[in-house]
Amino acid sequence: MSTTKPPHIVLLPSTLPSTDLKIITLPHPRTLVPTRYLVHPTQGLHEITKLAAPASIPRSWLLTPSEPSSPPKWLGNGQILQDGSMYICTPMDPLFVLLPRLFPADAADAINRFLPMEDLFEEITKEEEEGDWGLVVGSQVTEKRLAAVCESVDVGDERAYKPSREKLMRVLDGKCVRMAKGGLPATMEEEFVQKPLTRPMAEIMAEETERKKGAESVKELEVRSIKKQEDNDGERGGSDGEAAAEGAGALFTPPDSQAARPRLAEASQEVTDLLRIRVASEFISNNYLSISIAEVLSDRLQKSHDFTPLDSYLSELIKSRQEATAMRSDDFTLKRSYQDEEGIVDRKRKKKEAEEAEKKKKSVSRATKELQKADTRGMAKMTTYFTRKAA
Amino acid sequence: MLEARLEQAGVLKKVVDAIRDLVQDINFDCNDSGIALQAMDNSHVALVSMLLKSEGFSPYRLDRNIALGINLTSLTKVLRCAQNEDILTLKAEDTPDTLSLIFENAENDRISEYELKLMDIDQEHLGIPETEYAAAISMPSAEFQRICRDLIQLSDSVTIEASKEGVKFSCSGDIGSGSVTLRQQNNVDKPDLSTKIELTEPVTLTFSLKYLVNFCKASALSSVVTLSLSNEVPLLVEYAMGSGFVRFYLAPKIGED
Repeated sequence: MSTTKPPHIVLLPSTLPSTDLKIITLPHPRTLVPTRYLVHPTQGLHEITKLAAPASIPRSWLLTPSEPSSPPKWLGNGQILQDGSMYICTPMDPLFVLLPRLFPADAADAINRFLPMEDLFEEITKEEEEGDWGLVVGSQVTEKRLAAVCESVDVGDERAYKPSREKLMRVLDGKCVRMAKGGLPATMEEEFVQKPLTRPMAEIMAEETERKKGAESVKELEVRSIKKQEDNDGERGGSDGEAAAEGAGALFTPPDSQAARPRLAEASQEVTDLLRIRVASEFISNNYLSISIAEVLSDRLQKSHDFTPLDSYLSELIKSRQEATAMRSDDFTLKRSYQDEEGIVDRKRKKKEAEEAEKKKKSVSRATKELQKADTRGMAKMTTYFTRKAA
Repeated sequence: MLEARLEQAGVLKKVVDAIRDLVQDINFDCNDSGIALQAMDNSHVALVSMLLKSEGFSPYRLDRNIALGINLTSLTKVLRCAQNEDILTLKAEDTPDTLSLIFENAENDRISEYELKLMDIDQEHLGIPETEYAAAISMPSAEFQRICRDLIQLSDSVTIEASKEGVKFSCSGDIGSGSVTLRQQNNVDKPDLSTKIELTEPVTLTFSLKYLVNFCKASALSSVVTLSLSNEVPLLVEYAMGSGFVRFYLAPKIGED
């Protein structure tokens, strides 16, 4: 048994020679917690996402040498890793890690002057150890990305830059729209776009088919979903560098993937697109933006897109879902929402009252009932003849 | 503490039978003068007033006035367990939850004890003024019952016309019309069968027969019934007992036809 740490399985960008890569530690743009990133001098920043098997379905790795005759030294004749997780490196816009510094939450710390690129970098990275930042800042990509969110002026033969919120918002807005265009990654599309937009009746029927298909699709699940992941990330990363590895924890694909069960969203294309944009913005906000910037972004999106058709559609859906639940709660009293609880208590009370009234009615004699049917038209009440006595 | 001993349980049985179709939940008010009740029917067009005078009981002991809220259907169930000749004793605490009824049968030395749960009944009391009626007709209760039962075959309402010559009950309905006239007569041998009319002015009024038939259930209480009529006031149908009465009041039908 070796005393060295077991190796990690890391999926590296295939285009880059791994010797140039370096793992650095930077504060996470959302949480400011120190986080590991992969950096390449020309290709820029990569984020590292851990894919872990859920505790309910434990996994492990079996590593074998590809050429048994000359196995690599570290691998020997093969190895089993208890930890079934895998790390995936995907290109990431370096802009995100710089944002908390470029646009601090506290306005007093904001950079209000035009600065040459070097000075701007210095401003951003001050109070920090140079080492790790230097690698990010030094890359060509970073400079370009930084320029995209800054106003610039020419100062002699140099350009000077000043961070601009307006430009930043335009960039982020563009990212959301681009991410949404042509559909989100399959698992996100399924969970956050299709499901919320499906009408309840369709859902019930879909569940039926799912039950049948569920069993067989489980086996091939992991392989397929990881592959899909790679494909998605590959495409996305190439386009804009805002590669979206799906929210690290939510990576396990449910047994029913999009391909296995095409679900017809009845929502109009417009509504679906709007929801995609919203999901994209939430995803970006939750993973890469500080809270203050995320707020500004959501305001900006509200202004630049008209979400009313989506909102009205969703509220309509909520209503019809509640109705559907109410309908089902009649059949299976166990499946009731908390909102129905009150109604049920109310119904029970009414039933009890009705029963009591019924009982009382039954105890009434036939003669009394007969008397109650008497025609009392033209007859005055006793109280008109006799006055009430004080009690 | 109430303790009231009634020589004949049948009296209470008959009283309850007479009114239990008209009213269901009722307060028996126990005070020095006896046990009284007053209640309107569900439609509030009729009123029943009853008094069992304290003299009718032997003994009648009462420390403080109490109201016994009773469901008459329940009371009827308990009273069915008594025979008419049984001696009935009513007992209750000062703030009672239950009313105890004790039936003693002298013949075979049997004592039955029952407890009836009481209820809280919110009841309003109406003050009934002393009224000089334009006409007061006393007649055999069986005769009145017969007339009402006959006429209800034809119509829902009866017109009672009191004049010096006699009293005329008339009605008309879909299938035809009918009337019964009783002349004043004095039966010396059997005074209970006499028909007497005391009249200050002729009166003609119309009443619901369904209610009158209902009142007639009290016929067992007394062989004589007194009908007192005046314009603008309810009809009074009184069954007098040796020591008490059951009185029914019924609003006349006005402005129909």
